Amino acid sequence: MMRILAISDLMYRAVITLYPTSFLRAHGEAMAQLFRDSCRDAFRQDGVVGLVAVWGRVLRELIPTIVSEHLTEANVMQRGLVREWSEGDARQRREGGVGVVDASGYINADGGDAIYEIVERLLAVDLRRIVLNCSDMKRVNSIGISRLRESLQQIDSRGGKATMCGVSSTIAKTFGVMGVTQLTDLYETEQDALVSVELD
Amino acid sequence: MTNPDPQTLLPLTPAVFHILLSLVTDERHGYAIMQEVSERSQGKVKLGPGTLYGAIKRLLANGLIEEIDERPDPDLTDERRRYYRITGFGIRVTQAETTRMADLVQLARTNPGLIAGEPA
Repeated sequence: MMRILAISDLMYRAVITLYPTSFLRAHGEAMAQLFRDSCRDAFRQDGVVGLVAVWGRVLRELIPTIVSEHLTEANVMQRGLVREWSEGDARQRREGGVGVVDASGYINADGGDAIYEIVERLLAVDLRRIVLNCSDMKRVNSIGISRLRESLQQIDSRGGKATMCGVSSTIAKTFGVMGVTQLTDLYETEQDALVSVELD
Repeated sequence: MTNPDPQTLLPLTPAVFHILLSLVTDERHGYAIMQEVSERSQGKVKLGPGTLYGAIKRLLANGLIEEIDERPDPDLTDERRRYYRITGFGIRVTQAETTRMADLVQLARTNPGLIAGEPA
């Protein structure tokens, strides 16, 4: 019994690698565990017939759900490429399994909203490791920072991790006073920020 | 961020509606959701892992459910399992969907052709 379940588990783990990496990172382990539980109970109840029934259900949903997750990810990454406001813009891109938000110009209420929106889009495709690159950020105001804090808190509440890089010394001081640095670490270069966010 | 109007998320897919219903009464992990949905629908709806977690992903993204850290009963549960609970917004969306479907059923029931059991 144990052997057939172990083989079934291995096969399922191989099959689900077809899902997008970010989806797999967020839910792969839980899916594998759910599949394992389903197989164990079905096998106990109906033997091999039960196991085959579970596999039948999985295979029926496999192609549609894999296609759907890939399409969702591609769509979100394309749609949210640039978000502009009167005094700046925010762009999203992807570096491996990390979502990067490039924010430039003046981060006021509109800028903060734009960053929040992009962060939400990244979280929607399970890119929960996010680097906010502030190299081209010129100024910030209190509402922009407040929205930025909400973005960081949102990432944290979804089990993700965020880091920031390229913050000028003036803005870094303001971030310190406004409590942003309690929510995330600041790095000089994007590379350092990427390494840190990927390590955790 | 304020939540959008629940109507903008309707209609829900059957899988999503069943998942929300299963979470209205209790916080559950994925396998418990799957079992509850199967039981509640008398075996007519059986969610596979891909469908379930695809739906969970979207529900989390829209703020209809949230993942919780605490375990409902630490003695009986596996530490590795992830538990979910419905949010206030999720309840409002579920209520809105229930009303939408009830209105549809009401509309169908007042159709003379259906009442007679034959096309009008």
